[in-house]
Amino acid sequence: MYSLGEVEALSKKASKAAGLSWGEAAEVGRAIRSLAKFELPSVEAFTPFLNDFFQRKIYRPNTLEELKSNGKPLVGFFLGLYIIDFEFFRPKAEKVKVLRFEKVIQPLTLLGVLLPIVNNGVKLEVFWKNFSFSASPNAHEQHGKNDNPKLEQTLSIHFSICKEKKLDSFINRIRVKRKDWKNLEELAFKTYVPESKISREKGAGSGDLIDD
Amino acid sequence: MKYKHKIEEKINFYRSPDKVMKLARIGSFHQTRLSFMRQLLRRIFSEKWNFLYHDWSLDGNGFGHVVFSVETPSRVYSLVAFSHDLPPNKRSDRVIATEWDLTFALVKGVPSSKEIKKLAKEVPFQEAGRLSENELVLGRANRSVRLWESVVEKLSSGSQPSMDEVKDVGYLMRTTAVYGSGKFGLADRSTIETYEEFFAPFQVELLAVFLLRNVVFDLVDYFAKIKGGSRAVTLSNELKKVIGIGNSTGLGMASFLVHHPELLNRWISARECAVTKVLELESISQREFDLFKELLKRSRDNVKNWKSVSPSQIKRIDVLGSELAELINFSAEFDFKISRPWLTLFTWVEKKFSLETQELSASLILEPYGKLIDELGLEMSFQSGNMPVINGRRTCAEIRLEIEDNFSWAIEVDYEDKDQSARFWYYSQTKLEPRLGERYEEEGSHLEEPLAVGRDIKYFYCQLLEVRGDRLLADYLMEYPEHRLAAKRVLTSKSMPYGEIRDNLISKNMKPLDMLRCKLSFFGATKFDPRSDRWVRICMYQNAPLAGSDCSLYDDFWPYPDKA
Repeated sequence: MYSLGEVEALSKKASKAAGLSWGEAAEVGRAIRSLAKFELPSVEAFTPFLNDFFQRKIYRPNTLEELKSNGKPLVGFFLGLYIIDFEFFRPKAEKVKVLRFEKVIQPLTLLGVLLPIVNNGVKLEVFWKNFSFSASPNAHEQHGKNDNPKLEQTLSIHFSICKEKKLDSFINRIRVKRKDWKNLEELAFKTYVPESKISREKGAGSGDLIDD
Repeated sequence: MKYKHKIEEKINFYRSPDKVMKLARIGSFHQTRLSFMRQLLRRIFSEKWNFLYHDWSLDGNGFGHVVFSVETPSRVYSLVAFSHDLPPNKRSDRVIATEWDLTFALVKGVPSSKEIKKLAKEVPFQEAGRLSENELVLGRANRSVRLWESVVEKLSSGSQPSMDEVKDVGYLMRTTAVYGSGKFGLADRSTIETYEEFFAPFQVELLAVFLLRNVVFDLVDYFAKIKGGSRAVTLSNELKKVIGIGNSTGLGMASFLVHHPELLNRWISARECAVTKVLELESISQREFDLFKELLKRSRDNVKNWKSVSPSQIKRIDVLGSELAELINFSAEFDFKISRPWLTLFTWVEKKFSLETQELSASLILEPYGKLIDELGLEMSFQSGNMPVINGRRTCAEIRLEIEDNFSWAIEVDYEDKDQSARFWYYSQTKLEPRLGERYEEEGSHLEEPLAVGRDIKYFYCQLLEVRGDRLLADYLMEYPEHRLAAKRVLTSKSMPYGEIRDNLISKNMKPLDMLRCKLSFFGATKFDPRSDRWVRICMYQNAPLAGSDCSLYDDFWPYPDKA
């Protein structure tokens, strides 16, 4: 079992190593933490995405136009960023009740990116085939299978403001499969720098072994 | 500048972020009555927490374990400490050390013997061990060999060590790491913050250190007893009071302030709000001014006990001593019955004295005003999980303007100049901790951690100049995801005016020590003793009341001892 903090920190570094920017990597860390907190598959939901991204198998759109109109399947994670950066800030008059998307790859990665906004007083509902999930600051529930389909044909999302602030009780431990954890560690390792002579000479406690 | 504050709604801070958030100034901060140790002790003594040993299982050589517990109004916590036989050649403060004189964990409740056995298999190994949700803090400490041996020697022969000797070092043991917030499997901050007593920052870690302090006193008595038998005496309470817990802190702590702008903003805005509230007081009482003068005099006396091996710190301490003497003279003649007396006095200090004296003065003027400012302590936490968001509907032109307005300190630097980009922050493969590298001398800058905030915001800004002004940020970030982090910092800067250190964190002249001192001052540390530009020794809880002492006698001004 791992703490949420440990998993978030390691996932962030692994995501950077996989080729995401630091800003995106931080979103992955938060997403994995949130999925775990809401008792959804977390590290295992992101492992295929990170591995595919590392191997340059993932298509990432370069513009909003490209994301919306080129007909290619949408990667859940990037679609999630688009929603929290753009759709979430739609002016009140333009607010749509339900956002619908077709052909979404690894939709749990999308859900993970969206979930942290629940902490900002938002109720979130997400539906895809045989699965629905809703979360607000004071309750969460899911129906159906919560696996992470490679490609989901139709996905719907609904946001609303949640005025109640009573906090739901969340889990705060994550059970991660050994191979998934190892995968994260191996990726994260690529962001570490071997200690140099200079750092050994200047680090805490250096030059001062004994003692006062 | 105006900043919406929960308590004040709107406050015109006396000192702007541009003035405060410079490395040199935050690197001159002193503890205040809002510091986390002081918040914790006020709670402990006002709520009358109980302290007691549940287990004292040390062998005839002083090795084994002890369990020291504290009962709060709602919960019980225990410090489980393991005393080890550490060969002198293995005693090191470095994070690469693998053995220590003492290792400890703070756990929920009182551990059963089965749980202690489990802890004994993990805690002594520190980073190599695995902890659980039931454990809140993990740490280790080494003896100050010089003072420990001398104190044991004296006590074992039936006498007390001298006050001067004890004050000179200030601690019998120093911690070399105190971990919390989910590290190595410990309980997450999101769990800990739900316990009311630990909602303020770092309360759980500082409780562990406070408990450790008493355990160390009892250990030294025990070692003296082993050595001296019936001749031995216990360390007097008078001496115990002037002994704190030492600490060696390095770069692991520096990056925290950059990674948590929301917390940094809360800490500093609470402090600056307190300073502003006091400076705005129209009039003050004789009692308040007398208290200030008394604590000022004690501070001047205490400076004599602030020892450092760092030539630059020695110089700063000397200057501080003479400036405090001057301030004492000024205060003696000062007419406190004028309008806004603190403002007049503080403006004089700002014009005349070093940053070290200015910041100590800022701490001192807060002291008489617990009722006015202590509630700001409640605002120094940031509930984990609250998420800063990027409004991707803003245009690139708007963001450019925002950078010009709020980040001139970042964009005016020429990062192509090697001196301005001489360093890089990285994560050490060996110890999995942040480190600082020399960009043009060492390998690894391609793996740089995102701590060069100023440079990254300038690069973001320069890139924004290349795109159409009406392009939406969400669209821009799809093409340039490398600027996502900088974009988030820019967008949150308005709501977090004190969240950014407004200096170049990769320049040749940058001193990480300033970041360490800033954070440690908020903890409530004293006696900063820089050992290089990258690590510092400090003292915690020196002069604090002892755990279990009479709550009715609690002296909130313990960081300013009389008769220094």
